[in-house]
Amino acid sequence: MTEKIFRPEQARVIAAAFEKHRVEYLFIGKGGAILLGYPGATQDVDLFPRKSRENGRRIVAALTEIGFALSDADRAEIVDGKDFVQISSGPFDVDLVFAPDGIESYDAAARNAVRVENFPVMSIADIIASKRAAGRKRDLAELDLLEEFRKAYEASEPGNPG
Amino acid sequence: MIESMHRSDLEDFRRQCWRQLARPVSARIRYGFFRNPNPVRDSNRNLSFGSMSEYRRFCEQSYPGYFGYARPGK
Repeated sequence: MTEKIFRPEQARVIAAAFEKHRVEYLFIGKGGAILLGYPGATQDVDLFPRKSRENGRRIVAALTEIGFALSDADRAEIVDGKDFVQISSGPFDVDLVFAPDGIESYDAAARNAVRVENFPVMSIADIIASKRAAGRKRDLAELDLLEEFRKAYEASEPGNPG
Repeated sequence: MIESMHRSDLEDFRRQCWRQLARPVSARIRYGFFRNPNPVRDSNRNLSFGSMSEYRRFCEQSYPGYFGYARPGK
């Protein structure tokens, strides 16, 4: 069992490993919004990887390299691209969401995505759409604030009138 | 939620947005990610689900209500 030592920089650890192994993925959910500048907090690192066997193999290689203990069954489920894989056996927790609610396809989300340093992040519009589609109490409670943030975010973008 | 916020709270939130947008990514990360005890994750078990609705059902059955994983009315 890998000992969990929480560090806020875990998002950087994941991004560096996924970049090295050329994983196609996006940060999504509240963690993605925080990278964009949303003034909130979360304990989730939710990632939306492209669902393909090759991408799954890259994910396995990246996670293994940074200390995640994956069984043969875990590896198979990541490579096969189950809709949701929750990994708690590593130095920190990661959710692989291969089919996030409210998102048409990986390609569509990737076209709208933005890059923050070396973090590929789902667009704020798609993050909001996905939370709205999920419809959980924890998502609905935050939607209005995310919409307010979206106004500030879009006004702050170069080329957008403030 | 916005309707229930005082105007001054909403203005304060907007100012928070602008301040956070002005901060470097390293600060957003430092103050944006935390770790709390979690009744599911602390088992260190990896889980997988064939569909998001299967995952939703699991969360509704496995987490206390105050985690907010349920849909309204459940």
